[in-house]
Amino acid sequence: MTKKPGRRVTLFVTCIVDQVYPGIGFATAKLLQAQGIAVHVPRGLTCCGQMAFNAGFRDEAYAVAARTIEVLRGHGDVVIPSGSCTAMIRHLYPELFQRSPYAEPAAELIARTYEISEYLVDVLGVEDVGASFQGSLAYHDSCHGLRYLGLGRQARTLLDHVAQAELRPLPGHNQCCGFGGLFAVKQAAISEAMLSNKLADIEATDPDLIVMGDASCMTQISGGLSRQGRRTRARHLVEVLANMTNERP
Amino acid sequence: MSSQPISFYERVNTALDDTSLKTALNRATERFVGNRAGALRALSDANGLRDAARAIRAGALAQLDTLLVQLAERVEARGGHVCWASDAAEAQRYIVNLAQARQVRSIVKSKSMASEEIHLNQALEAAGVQVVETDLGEYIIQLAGETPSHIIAPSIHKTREQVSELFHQHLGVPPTDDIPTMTQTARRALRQRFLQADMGISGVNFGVADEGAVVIVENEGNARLSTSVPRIHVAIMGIERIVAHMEDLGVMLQVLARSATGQKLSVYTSIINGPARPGEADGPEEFHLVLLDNGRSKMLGSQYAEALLCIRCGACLNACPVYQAIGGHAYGGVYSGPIGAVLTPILQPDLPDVYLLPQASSLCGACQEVCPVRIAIPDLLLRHRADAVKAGKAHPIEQAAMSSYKRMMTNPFLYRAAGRAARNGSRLIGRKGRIRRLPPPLHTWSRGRDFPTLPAKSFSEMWEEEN
Amino acid sequence: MTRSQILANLHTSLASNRPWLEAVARSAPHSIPPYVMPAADDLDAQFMAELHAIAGMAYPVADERAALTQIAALLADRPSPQIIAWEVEQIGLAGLAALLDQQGVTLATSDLHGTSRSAHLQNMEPLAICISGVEAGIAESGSLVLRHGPGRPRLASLLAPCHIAILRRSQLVRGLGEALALLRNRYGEEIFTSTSNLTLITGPSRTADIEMTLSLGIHGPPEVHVVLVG
Repeated sequence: MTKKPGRRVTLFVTCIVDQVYPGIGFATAKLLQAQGIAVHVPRGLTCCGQMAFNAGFRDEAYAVAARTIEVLRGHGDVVIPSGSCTAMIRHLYPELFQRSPYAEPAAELIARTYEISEYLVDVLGVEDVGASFQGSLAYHDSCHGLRYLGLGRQARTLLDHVAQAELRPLPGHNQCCGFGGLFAVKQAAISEAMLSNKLADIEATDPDLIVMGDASCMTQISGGLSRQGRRTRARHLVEVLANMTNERP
Repeated sequence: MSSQPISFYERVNTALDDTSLKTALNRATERFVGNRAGALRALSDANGLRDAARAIRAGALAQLDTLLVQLAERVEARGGHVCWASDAAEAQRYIVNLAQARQVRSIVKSKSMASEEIHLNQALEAAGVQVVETDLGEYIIQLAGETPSHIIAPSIHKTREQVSELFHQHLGVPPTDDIPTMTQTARRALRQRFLQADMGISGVNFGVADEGAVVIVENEGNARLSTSVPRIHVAIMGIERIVAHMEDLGVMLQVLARSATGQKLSVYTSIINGPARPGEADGPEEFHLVLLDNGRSKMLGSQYAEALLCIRCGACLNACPVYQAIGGHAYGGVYSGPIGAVLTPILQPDLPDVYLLPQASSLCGACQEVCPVRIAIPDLLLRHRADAVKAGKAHPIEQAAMSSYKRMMTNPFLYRAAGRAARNGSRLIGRKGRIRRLPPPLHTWSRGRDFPTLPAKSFSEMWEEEN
Repeated sequence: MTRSQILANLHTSLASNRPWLEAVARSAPHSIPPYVMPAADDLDAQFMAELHAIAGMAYPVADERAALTQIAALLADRPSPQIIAWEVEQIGLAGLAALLDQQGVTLATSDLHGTSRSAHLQNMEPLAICISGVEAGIAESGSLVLRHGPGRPRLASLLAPCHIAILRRSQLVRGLGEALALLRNRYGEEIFTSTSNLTLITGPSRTADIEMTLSLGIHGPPEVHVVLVG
């Protein structure tokens, strides 16, 4: 593991982490800083626009995403602790901004935007961040990271190196948890049916922590575990890697 | 189908409450998913084959105008007849008129989603012609008075007990729980219908432009019987289901069978070129090809054109967690699952609630992952959602929420203030770090899930204090 | 009229989307792979293994005489005074006519054209055996390629519950792509000049429409016996 002194990244924590799970933002920053990287959080960052885009409100998504592009302009590599928001930028900004003045700036942003596990493993070449966890883990592949960014291998590599942890295989690890943004509210019954499959798979594995790369899926899975009074806790990958698993219930 | 008056949400809830449906769906989709995965693993280059399939289909669509003309001319040169039908009514009228002109009393039909699309059976029955579905699954649901719930396995939702009861009622055989016995019962009953039929109606998996042929793929043999035994064969083909060259089948048939059922090839592939030739002992005296447009020619120029690459394998249904939960009928259209949610708003725009179908997806992308021609189904669903919003279909509460979302997310001061208010509010209604009941319109979330209480300060507020 | 309306719509649509479709079409080669599975050493063994895996039967025999013996055994197990078959010269197995004569088996008249289609069919319905030749066999899927036509009725692989097919070792190809190329090489533009139908048969008729449970012979033959000669 080599330190990368002099390197600087911009951290875009995403709206849900900013408002609901600040610990994930700090864990991400801590992981990057441990690699000798200076972390910068631009003032006034809000949201990638995915919530509106996925609901079909493209004008609203355009306004929000265009502003995000402006705030991130000229800030070097952007690292995001979310496969879904990274996929929004990489996969959907081209459609959102096609034939618009932001087509070019969007492409420029895409070229320097990374999800955190991808940045650690593929860009920095880090496999062991020096984390330890006394207990069992299982990893859930969040859909957008898995299918639009090809993630999964990176997180498993990093988790494999967490000292003292037992990484258990999760049946249905690549099945959707049923979150899907507003889908979870607008199609709540279907969303819950999908969640109950996920909870059954987690119960069969019975890990201390179910780990994933997206705070949104974590909200869904954690919400189900909590309602059903299960012992397993849901954590973001960066919380495990930064030894920050004890800061939430 | 169109006669179902209940709303999409009611259909969903009915499906979610149906435990025998859940068992049947689990059994079928798990089997299909496993078979498909095994069949693709056994290939030397599964991804290369899928890439080729996508390229071949796109190349055919890029010259759909010339290929269709070529197909029609070659069918006619062999003595076949071609009907160009711009909509369901025209296709129906052609087939009903033909049946009446030829004194057709009884028709055997092999599986055709296009015929479902034009509600052909109802039209023929109204004209006094007997129509029997001969694919076992289609036959079962015809006896039950239902519609297909899966492209490949239309009676996926029926248990053996339900099938036994249907056969007992309609065919007078004693009830049994032995599936091979039921299969033989159906064979005997349907065989007589084949032998007496005046006309056979089939779908088309691929039209082959350079040969003027139609290709029909099946496992049972009912399509072979329907297209070989009666004196008239009518094939109904969606105009997009075309390949340029017969050799293209070397790719398309292999990805179709593997994606649909995990077979290397389906049991029977019939490549049919016009009516029987002089000296041929069997085969029809007349061959009619109905080229059904029904919205496709315009769709080709739209942002949904990619969905016309579809070869109706059903893999996206099996892979879809929403389909796995609610089955095919909840979608309400002829085509269900992810591809149905893309196609139905275009092909059956008048169905009530049709704009809701593209909402029935968590956008997980499992459909695109398994699609043999790699259709970007989630992207197409997102375009439908955007169209629905443009058409004013969004709920007023959602519209209001989205305009405040935009105001909030483009104004950092507002964003902070709103965040602070939400965080304070959350700690008023939450206990021990969790909220068990969220206020409307978010209350649907908390029916089965807790929500965390929000922290006193946001990440950015704390970061700015520390840095 | 409808044809011109549909074509006009297609022209308009392609004016906007043809470039995109052509780009997708160019994104991968259209070349048809001759076969798609890892190559096996032995085509006969691969063909037989694949056919067995889908509940078909294969009988490898050394020569025509052994083939006739095998067919006689199959006929003896299923006594049938009449069978539905290709004309013997189309099957191309020397001595088959004599064997059938000797067993007292005649060929049913399978010509459906004319006024008594249904009566002909009713006469054939009770028959137990179909015999056909083939155009080719496909090793990696256990498939038979049948090119129907005069003297080669479709019903001779379809109507009766037992289908016996005569396949020469020399007719085996590895994959579907190779089989289609062989048809093109052999017949050029004339594949369908004298026939209205080509059929690939991959094992016995099957269905899993009730509870995903496999059962054989729902409409086509539940038994497929391939006599592999040479």
